[in-house]
Amino acid sequence: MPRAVVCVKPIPDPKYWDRLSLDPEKGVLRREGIPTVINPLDKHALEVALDLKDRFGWEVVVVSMAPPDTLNTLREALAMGADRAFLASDRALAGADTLATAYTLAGLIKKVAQPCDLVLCGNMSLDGSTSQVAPQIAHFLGIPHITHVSKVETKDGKTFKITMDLKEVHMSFSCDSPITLAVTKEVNLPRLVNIMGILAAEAKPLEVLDAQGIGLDPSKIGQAGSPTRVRNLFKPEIKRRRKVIKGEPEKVVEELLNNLHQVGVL
Amino acid sequence: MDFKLSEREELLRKSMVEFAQREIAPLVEEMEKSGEFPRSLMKKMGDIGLCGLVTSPQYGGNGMGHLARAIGTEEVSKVSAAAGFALQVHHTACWPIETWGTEEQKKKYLPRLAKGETFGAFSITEPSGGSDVLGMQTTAKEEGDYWVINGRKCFCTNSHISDILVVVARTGEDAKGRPAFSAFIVEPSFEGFSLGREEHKMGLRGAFTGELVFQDCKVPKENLLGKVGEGLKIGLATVNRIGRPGMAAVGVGLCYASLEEATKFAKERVLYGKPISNLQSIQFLLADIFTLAETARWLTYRGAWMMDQGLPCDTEMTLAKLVATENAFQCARMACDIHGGYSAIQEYSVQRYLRDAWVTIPSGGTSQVAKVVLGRHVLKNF
Amino acid sequence: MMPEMNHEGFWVFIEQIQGKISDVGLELLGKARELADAKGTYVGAVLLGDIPHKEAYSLLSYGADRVYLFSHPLLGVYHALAYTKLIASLVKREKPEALFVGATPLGADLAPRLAAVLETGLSAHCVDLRLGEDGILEQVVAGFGGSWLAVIVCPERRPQMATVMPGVFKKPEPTKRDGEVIPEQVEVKESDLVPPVMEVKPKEKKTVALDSADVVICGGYGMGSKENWKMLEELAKLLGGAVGATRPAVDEGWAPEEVMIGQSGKTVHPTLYIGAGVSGVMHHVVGIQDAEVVVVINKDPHAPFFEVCDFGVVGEVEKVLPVLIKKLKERQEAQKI
Repeated sequence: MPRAVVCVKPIPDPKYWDRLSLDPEKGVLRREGIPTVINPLDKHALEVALDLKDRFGWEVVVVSMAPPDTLNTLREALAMGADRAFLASDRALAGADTLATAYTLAGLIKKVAQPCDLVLCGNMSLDGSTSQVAPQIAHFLGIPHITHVSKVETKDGKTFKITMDLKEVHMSFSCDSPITLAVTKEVNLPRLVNIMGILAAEAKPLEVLDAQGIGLDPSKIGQAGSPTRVRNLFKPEIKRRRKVIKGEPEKVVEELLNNLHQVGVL
Repeated sequence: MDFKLSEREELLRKSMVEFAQREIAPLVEEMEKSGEFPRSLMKKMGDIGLCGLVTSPQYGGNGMGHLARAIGTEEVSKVSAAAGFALQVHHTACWPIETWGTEEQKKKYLPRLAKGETFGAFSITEPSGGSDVLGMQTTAKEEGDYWVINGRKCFCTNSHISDILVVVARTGEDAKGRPAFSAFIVEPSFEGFSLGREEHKMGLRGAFTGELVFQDCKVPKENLLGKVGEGLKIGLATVNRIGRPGMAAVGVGLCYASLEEATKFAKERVLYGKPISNLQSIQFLLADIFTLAETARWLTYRGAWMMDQGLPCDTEMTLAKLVATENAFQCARMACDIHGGYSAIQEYSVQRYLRDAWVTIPSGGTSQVAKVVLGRHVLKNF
Repeated sequence: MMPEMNHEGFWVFIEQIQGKISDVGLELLGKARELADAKGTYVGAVLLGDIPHKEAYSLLSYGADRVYLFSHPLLGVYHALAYTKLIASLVKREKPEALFVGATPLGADLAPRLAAVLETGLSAHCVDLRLGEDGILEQVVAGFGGSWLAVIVCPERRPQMATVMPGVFKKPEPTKRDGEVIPEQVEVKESDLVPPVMEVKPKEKKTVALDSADVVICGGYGMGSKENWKMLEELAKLLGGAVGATRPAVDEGWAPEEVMIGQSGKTVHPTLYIGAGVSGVMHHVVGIQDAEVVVVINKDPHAPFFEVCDFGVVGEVEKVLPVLIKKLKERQEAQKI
């Protein structure tokens, strides 16, 4: 049976982002008490996999790296239709940047979901919005990657036409071997969780593994394995400039356009 | 007593919020204009599992239960109370068929209802009275292989979309000479059945409420639901344990809809240089709305929980219905107060909440009927 | 890569599409030049494609001291694995201290893989790059939809990699400069290009939806007539944006209900908002408070909008808009040359 692995990230619910506060000592954002949701683009990724399950009988495995209180988001992925879910959770994984995160997720995939035919991610998470993890997971798995995927087409579930959205062109690739795809919201409309799915999810396997259980190299995970560090974290002040421009239309428009160019919107 | 909702119930709520936003919200404007329930919504509610909430899995439902039903109906109603109304009435057909139906009846009708192929309806009320149930004029007489029904039912919700209706009619007298009633499963295709007028309601527009006309309507013998003479029992039990809590859940949805709209408006509306949410009078109104909403919610959930536990709960359900529907109206009134002149403008939802809440009050029994029931309970137990 | 004493130089990956160099690479060259001058080191540009030698020379006038050119027919179209392999081996050989990539879809597809191969750190969509007191590159990024800013550093590994959105830095003025173009050897076969490209199609210009528009042009009661409304549509087309309206304009029938912005209408989150003939009452302003830059054109100097905008032009829309459209067209023509 062909297998798709979907990487899912629980993020703080955007509805409550104004409740995020800074921990001045640790220099990190306090996320406690803020409900988590599945990163929206990950649902699009999951929908690609579930469509393959419906049409061609693929197995769908969901993986995630997150604190243990986010199991509800994995349960939601199971309720959407995924077959099995695995969470990498361990103190040693904390403070990971994208490289350490990708190494961890690739390690988890190798441990619980090999062989796999397709690795799917959302193109970007709403909180960190780096778009870096998918290509880096592909590197650790030794397979190619395509990001900004706006279309996934297949007639037989074996050969795929993948369309990547660049700035001015669409590029389409032909794939028939394992690959990592990062999808945008154009790729599909994710199905809703229905009540039958919620009940079925309770019987599906949902496992938590720690770093040792996955077999990860301690020097490559968490803060130890992260080449980047946060030196400072702060809230920007948004103040309107309130610059009023008066005069003849020719002069006034010229000044406006220069200002807009200076602030980088033109 | 655990007041925390389970993970399953939290996920249910979340999913129903998303369903309502995606599938129902875009239809609300048209529902308000036409007063019609969008037929495409029936199967969608079936696919998402709302239709099968009180039906056992062996008959095609999911059986998640009555608390789940309360939560699901509430979230649907928050977006469209009319849709919540149609859904809850649908359950008033599902439950009595499963509770009193024969195996054949259950196998024949329940899967279709659970899938949302059609919505159910339950009809007791007549021009001669709904509150005065014993005054029912519609009769059913045994003639050969049929029961022949004659009469007129009114205020039947889902009348114009339902293919499976549970109808109560007078079938004779009991041993003490009082009128006796029986329940029947009626399909619109039966000879002698027709739909009468469609009511144009001032609220809960988007759910059909209409008349059923029986002129020598031939109902096959095997469609008698329960035993002869059990009609009143079936009717009252259905109203108490499904109809009233269903209306309560609709009311809860309306309460929270008013709370959210009013709070949003108060934070954005600037008068005297500041958002009006800074004013104590507005904060007091919001506190009152919150108080009424929370009261409605927890009474409703308590009744639903008792039903899931198999405990007798007629009184608790009647109380929940009384409180939730009356509170919905008060919440909407106060939300309108906060909106000031904007409450009169149709683009703003609060005027719809007010009209919808008004119509929930006499649905499933008037508030006065509820108080008759509660008064009796007090006299008996205190 | 672990740092050694001899990691030096600020490099920029130069993106090209169908032979034409994108502005973002030039903008990054300007920033790299500034940082390199502060540290007394050089700027390198890395260019891959099917590019004639003389195209590469233009990069010198934008600040590059060296241009590493990988030119080959098979590199004309972007391919992640091929580009990564070539750039990585060059970086390992030359050891730059920093490498910047434009945060276009192409750059965002390439940079992470490259960073992983080089086992180094990468920060995404930087809104600023500057040198810390310790000479380390400070990379400022936005998170949580822009409501938080973080300063990221890559203290040990090299090169320090960062992607930057187009338009964050200014494109430098070209000046006559000395430097060299270094043609690099390209060893690439068809079989390296996995998965193979099937087709490259230009994107059709779609009408922009208001909710997701980067640029929103909003008309108010001050627009005066449906005739004048056409100017807003032309402006939106020039800027790749969408047209919205305030309630009074909708009531006048100049625009449909669906594009009404405000409390009982839509909320928009554009980079640039231009309100023409809009007075700026609260009902409307709440719908645009997340806009990055707010521009207002109104003939009434006492309109409330002037208190909550970035740039306010006092003038009649009939006089200002035609000039604005004309000058935008002129600037766009100039860019094409």
